[in-house]
Amino acid sequence: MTYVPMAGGRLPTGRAGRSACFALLLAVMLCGAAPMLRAQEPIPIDSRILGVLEARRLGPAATGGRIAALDGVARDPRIIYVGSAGGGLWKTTNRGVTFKPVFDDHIQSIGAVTIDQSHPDTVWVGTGEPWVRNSVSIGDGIYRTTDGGKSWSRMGLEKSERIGRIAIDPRKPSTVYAAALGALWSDDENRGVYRTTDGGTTWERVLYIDARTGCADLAIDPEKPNIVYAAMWQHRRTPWSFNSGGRGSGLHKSTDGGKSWKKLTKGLPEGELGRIAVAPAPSSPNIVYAFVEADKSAFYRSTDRGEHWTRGSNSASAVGRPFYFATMTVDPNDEHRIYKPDFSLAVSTDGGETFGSPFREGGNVHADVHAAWVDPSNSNNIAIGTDGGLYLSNDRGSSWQFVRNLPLSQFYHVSADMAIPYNVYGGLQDNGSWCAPSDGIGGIANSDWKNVGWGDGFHVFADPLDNTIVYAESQGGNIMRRNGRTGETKDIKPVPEEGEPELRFNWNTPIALSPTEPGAIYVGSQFVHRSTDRGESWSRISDDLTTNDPAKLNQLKSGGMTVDNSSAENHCTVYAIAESPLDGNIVWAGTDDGNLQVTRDGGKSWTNVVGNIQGLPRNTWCSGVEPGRHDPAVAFATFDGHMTGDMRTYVYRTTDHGATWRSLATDSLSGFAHVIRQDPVNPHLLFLGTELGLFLTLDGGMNWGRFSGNVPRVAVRDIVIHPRESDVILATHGRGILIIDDITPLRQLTEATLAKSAVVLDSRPSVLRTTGSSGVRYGDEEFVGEVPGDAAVITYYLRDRHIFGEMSVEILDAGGKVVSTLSGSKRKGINRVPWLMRMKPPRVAVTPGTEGRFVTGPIAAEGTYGVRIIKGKDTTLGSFVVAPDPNSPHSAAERELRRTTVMKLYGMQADLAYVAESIARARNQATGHADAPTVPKDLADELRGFASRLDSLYKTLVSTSEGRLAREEQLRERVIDLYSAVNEYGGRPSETQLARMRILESRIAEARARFRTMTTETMESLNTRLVSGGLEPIRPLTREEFDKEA
Amino acid sequence: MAYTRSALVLLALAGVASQAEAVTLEEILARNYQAHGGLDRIKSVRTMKMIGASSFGGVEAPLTIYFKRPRMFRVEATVQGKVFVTAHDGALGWSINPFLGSSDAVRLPDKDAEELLEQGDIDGPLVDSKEKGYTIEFAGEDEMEGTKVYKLKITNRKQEVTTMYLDRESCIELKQIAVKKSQGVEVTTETIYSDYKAVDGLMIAHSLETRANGQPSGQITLKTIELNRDMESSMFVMPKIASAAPATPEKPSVETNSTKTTKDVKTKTTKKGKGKK
Repeated sequence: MTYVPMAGGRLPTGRAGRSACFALLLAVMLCGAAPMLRAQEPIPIDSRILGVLEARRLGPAATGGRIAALDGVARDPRIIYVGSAGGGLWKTTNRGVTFKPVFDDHIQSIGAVTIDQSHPDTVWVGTGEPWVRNSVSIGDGIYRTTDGGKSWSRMGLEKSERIGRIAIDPRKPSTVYAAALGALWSDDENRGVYRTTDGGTTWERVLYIDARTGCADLAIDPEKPNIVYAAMWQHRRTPWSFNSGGRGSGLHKSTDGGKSWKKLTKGLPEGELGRIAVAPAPSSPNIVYAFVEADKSAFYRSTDRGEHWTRGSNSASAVGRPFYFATMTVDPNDEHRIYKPDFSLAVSTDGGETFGSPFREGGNVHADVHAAWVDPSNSNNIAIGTDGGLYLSNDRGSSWQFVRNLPLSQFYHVSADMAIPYNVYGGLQDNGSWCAPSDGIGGIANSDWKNVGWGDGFHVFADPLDNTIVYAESQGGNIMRRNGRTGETKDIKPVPEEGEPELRFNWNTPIALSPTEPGAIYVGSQFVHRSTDRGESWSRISDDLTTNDPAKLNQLKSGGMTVDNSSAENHCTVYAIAESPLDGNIVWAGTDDGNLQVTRDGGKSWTNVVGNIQGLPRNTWCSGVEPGRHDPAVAFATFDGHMTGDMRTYVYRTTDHGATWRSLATDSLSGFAHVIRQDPVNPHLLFLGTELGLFLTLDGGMNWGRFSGNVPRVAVRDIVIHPRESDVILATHGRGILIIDDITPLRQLTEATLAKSAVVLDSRPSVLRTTGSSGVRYGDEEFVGEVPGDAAVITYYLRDRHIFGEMSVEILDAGGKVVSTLSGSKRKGINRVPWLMRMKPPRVAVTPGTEGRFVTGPIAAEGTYGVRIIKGKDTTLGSFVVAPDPNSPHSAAERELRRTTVMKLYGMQADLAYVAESIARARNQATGHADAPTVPKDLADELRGFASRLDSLYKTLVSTSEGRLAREEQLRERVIDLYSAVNEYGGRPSETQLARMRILESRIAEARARFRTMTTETMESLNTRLVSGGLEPIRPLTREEFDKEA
Repeated sequence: MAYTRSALVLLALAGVASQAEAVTLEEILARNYQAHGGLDRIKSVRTMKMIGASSFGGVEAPLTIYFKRPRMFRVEATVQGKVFVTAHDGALGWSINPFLGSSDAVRLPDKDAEELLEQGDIDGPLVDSKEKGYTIEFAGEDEMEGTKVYKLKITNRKQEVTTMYLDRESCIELKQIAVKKSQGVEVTTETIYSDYKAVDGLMIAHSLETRANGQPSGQITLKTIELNRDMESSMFVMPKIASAAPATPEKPSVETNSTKTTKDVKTKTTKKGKGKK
C-alpha cells in the first residue's frame, strides 16, 4: 500500500502547502495507479547473484585521503599500519613501497591502531575516526587480528561509534584499554575508558563521566603499566553547530590499572576544559606531557607522572583546532622532543617550552596533521598522517617523501563528461577538485589526475558544450569557472541582489547542470539560482526554501572553547538540486534542514512536499534527490539524520510529483543514505549509496542487495551512471573513484533469467583499439588506477557453480565458425571472461634456434559475434558486437585493407611453415637413411649431399642461431616482422609494407619451387635406389598432412 | 559420470547442515576419496598423462603433463613449436626455456624445485597426509562465492598453510589457497578446480584456474587424461647435455601424441589422480 496519509502537525504552510494538500487529495483518488510497480516482480538480489562483478579503482593517490592513526612494528619498522578516516586500514611491509588494504570486510573509518609489540602479528583496531569534523564517519567497535591482518575478530564495544586510542599493557598484553569517544551527535552512555583483562572477551567500563563526555586520549606508563592516563572530553555536534568543552572534560589518572581514578588538576587550567591529549615520554616516563584546550590552550609538562604540571608553550603552531589535532608523539629516544600534529607539523625540542617547525630541507607536505609515528629503533624515521595522505621522513622531519600508493581520497561528488574515453570530475575533502580520464594506456597514473579547483572540493562539472570549461567550488559556495586551456578561474559565486538578505551556502553547496538545456546551471544558497551564461549572471528562481530557523544560524559562535567557523556548520541551506531530464520545468530542491521542494513551472512556484513523507522525522537533512528518468512524475529522495544521532536509512519514491511517497528501505540496507540513482534503461534498477557502502535493487526497491565486489563498506557519497558506457561511477569518501564497468548485464536480470541454469547476458559493444604502451616504469611505489583493458567481456549467469562436466565459452564469427574457445569463471551468479578480440595466432615455421619473436593473432574483424556456452550437454547462445574505435582516424576502407593484408600475411606464414617443415623432414629422412648400416656408401654419400643441399635451403628460410640476442633474420623472421607491424597498426599499411609483402611472397614461392625442383631432380632417383635396397623412400610431407597436424 | 543436483538433494543437505557440528575431518576425507572414486582406485594409479592446453593473456599453449610415482613430474608446454619443459625426478628439478635464448636444461633453484616436487604428488595432500608431513584440520563450514563449502587447513612441514575448499554437497575440491613465503614476502596462490570428469572411474578436474595474489595467472584445460601407461623414468631426469628439444622440428619428446595409442599392457588397472595441484 503506497498511500501515505498526511501526518498531523506537519502540514506545509502557505501556497505551497495548499497545493501539496490538493496533490495529496488527488493521490488518494488515484491511489493504486502505479502500473510499473505493480507489474514488477520481486527479485531478491545479493552478492551471490552479482558474482564476479566488481568495481575498479581509479584513484587518485596523487593526493591522499585523511589518515587518522598510525602504528609501526618496533622490531621491524618496515611494517607500518595506516588507519584512514574513511578508507580502511592499510599495511606496508616495506616501509611504504607497497600497501595492501587489510580491513576490507569491515567498517572503513579507523580511529586507533595499536600493535602488540610483544606479538607484532597481534594488532588492535578501534573503528570510528576521532577527528570529529562535520564530515566524519562512524565506527562499530574494536577489532583484533592475531595474524598480521589476514583475519579480524570484532572484540566488542559495538556501540562506541568512535575509538580514539588503544593502549596495551606491555607486560600483560591481554590487558587492553580503549578510549571510547562515543556518539558525536547525541547523548549516549557507551563511552569512556574500557578495559579488558582477558584479551577482549569481556570489557569493563572503568571510567565514565556522563553521556556527553567520552575519552579522547589515553596512555599507559611504559615502566609502571598500572599507571594509566585518560583525557576525557565533553563535545557535541549538531547539523548547525559544534561544541568542544564543558564540565565533563578533564585529565584523569589511575595507579591501579584502571580500578580507581583521580582527576589531575595541580597546575592545569581551572574551569571548563576542552579536548586534551596526553603522552608520557617513553624514554623517561616520569615526564608526562599534556596538551589542554582551554580558554588559553597550551602545553603542560609534569615531571612526577602527572601529579604536578607546569605550563609550557601556547604557540599558535601547536594549539590549533583541538577537535582536529589534539594528539602528540614524544620521540621514544628523546624525552624532550615532541611532535605535535597541527595545521602543520610542529616540533618541540625543549620539552614543550617552545614549538617550531621541523622543516628544513623540505616541508612540502599537506596541511592538517592527525598522526605521527616515530620509529623506536631510529628516531630519524617518522611517518605522519594528514588530510592529504601519508608522508615519510628519514631526517627527523626535515624533508618528506609522499606515499603515492594509497588511494584513500575522499570524494563528496562525482560527474563525468562525454569525451571518449570519458573523464571523471570530483571534489575532495581538503584536497580540491580533480579530473582524470576513465581509461588510458597502461592505467591511470597519479600524473593523469589534474587539479581543477582548490580548498575542499565538492561538485565539479565540465560544461556539456565544451569540456575545457569546468565548474568547481570550494567550501561555502565559492563557485568558480575554470578555463582548462589557460588554467584561469573566474569567481562566479552568486551574491545577494539589492534588498536581499545575505546568501547562505552549505559547506557542500549544490551545483547542478540542466539535463535539458546545455549550458544552464543551478546553484543553491537558501534560494535556487539559475544561470544560462556559464555563471556570468544568475537568476534567483525561488524564495527561501529552508526553514530559515534563527536558532540554527549562529555559526559565528560555533566551536565551543575554540571558535571554529569554517562554513562547515552553515545551515538552513539548499543541499540538493536536480532538474528532471524529462521536463526542464520540474526542478527538485532538498534542504539541509529537512525540506523537499519541487517546482513544476521552472521556479515560478515551489511546493514543499516533505510533509507527505510518512515516517520521516521532521527536519531530517535531505541528502539527495533524483528525478525519475522514465516518468516525470517519479522522483526518489534520500534523507540523512545522522547528525542528530539517527543512523537509519531513509530512501523514498514518489510517483505523483511528491504528493505521496513510499519508503524503499528494507532490512538489507545499512548506513545513512547519501544518494540514489535510477538506471536510464531499466526503471527498476536503482543504486543507493550510504555511509556503509553501495546497494542495488532490480525490482524498484522491494529487495536490495549489497554490491560488495571491490566496494568495501566505504561511504558512497555520489553515483553517476554513464549514459553512453553504462558504467556506474562511485564517489567514495575514502577509496577515491570506483567504477563498475558496463552494467548492461544487470539490466537483464529478471526472475526468469535468474531461474535458468546458464544465460549469456548482453554487454555493451566492445571497441577495437590499437594502442601503444605507456613506456613508463614508475616502480612499485606508485598507484596506477585500473582501466578496463582492451578485451571484449563476455558476461553470463550461472544459477549454480559449475563443478562436474565440461564447460566452455566459444566465440563464433558471423558464419558460425568457432574462432576462440575460452574457459571462463564458473561461480554461482554473474561470471565474466575476457576475449582479446584476436584470432588464433598464425602457424609459424618452427625454428630449431632460440629466436625469440612472439607472434600474436590477427585483430578480429568488426561485426557481430556469437557466444556459445557449452555446459555439459546444454548449450546457451548469445551475441556481442565488436565495434570500431570511434576515435580511430582510419576509414572503413583503410581498416579493411589492413585486415585483408594481415590475413594474407597470416596465410604466408603458414605457407612458409609448410615449406620449411617439408624441407626439414625430407632432410631428416635423408640423413636417417644415410646413417643406416645397410645403405651402400655411395648411396649414403648421395643422401648426405642431398640432405646438405636441403639444409642450405632450410637455413635461408628460418633462423637457426642460438642465443637470445642472436637476431639472425631469415625469411620466417622477415614475414613475422611485417605481419606484426601491419597487425599492430589500426590503419592502412604503407606502400612500403605492401611492396615488401609482394617481395616476401615471391621469396616463399621461390623456396617452394626450389624444393620442388630438388625433389624431382634428386629425390626420385634416390627413392628408386632406396626402395630397391629394401628401404622406405623419402616421402615429402603433404600440405594436407601438415594442416592436419595443426 | 552424470551428476544431478535436485531440490530434493538440497533439502536433504539442509538437514545435514543443521547437524554441521557433527561433521568430522575423517568423514570429510572419506567422502572426498569416495567422490574421486575411492581410495583404492586413487592409489592404483602408477602414472598419469594429461594432455590439454594452458592459456594466459590470450596465449594458448598445448600442454602435456606427466606424473609417475613416487614423485616424478614433467610439464611440456609448446609455444610456436618451441617446447618449454619443467620437470622433477624426485631428486632434482630442472627446466628448459627456449624463449630465453637457450635450449639447454637448467637446474631450478631449490625453492622452486621444492614447490615442483609438491606438485608431483599425484594424490595431493589429502591422501596419506601424515606420511607426507601434512597436518590437516577441519576449519569449518563457509560459503565460497555463493557455494557452501567445507574448509580444510593444511599445514606442511615448513609450516606453510594451504586452505582447501571442498564442495559441501559433493565433497570434491573446488579451490585451494596456498600462502607461501618467497624471499620473506608472502605470495598467495589460488587454484580453482572444475570440470570434473571421470577417467577410468576416477573423478578428475579437467579445468584448473590459477590466481597469484588475486590476479589471474593461468588457466589449464585438460582434454585427455591417460592412466597407467608405461613411462620411462629417464624422461624426468635432467638431460646431461643441451637440447631436450630436438634440433629440427620433429615432435617434442616422449609419446606426446595422444592419437597414437601405444600398446598399453595394463590398461585395466584403472586408477586415480585427483586433478588438483
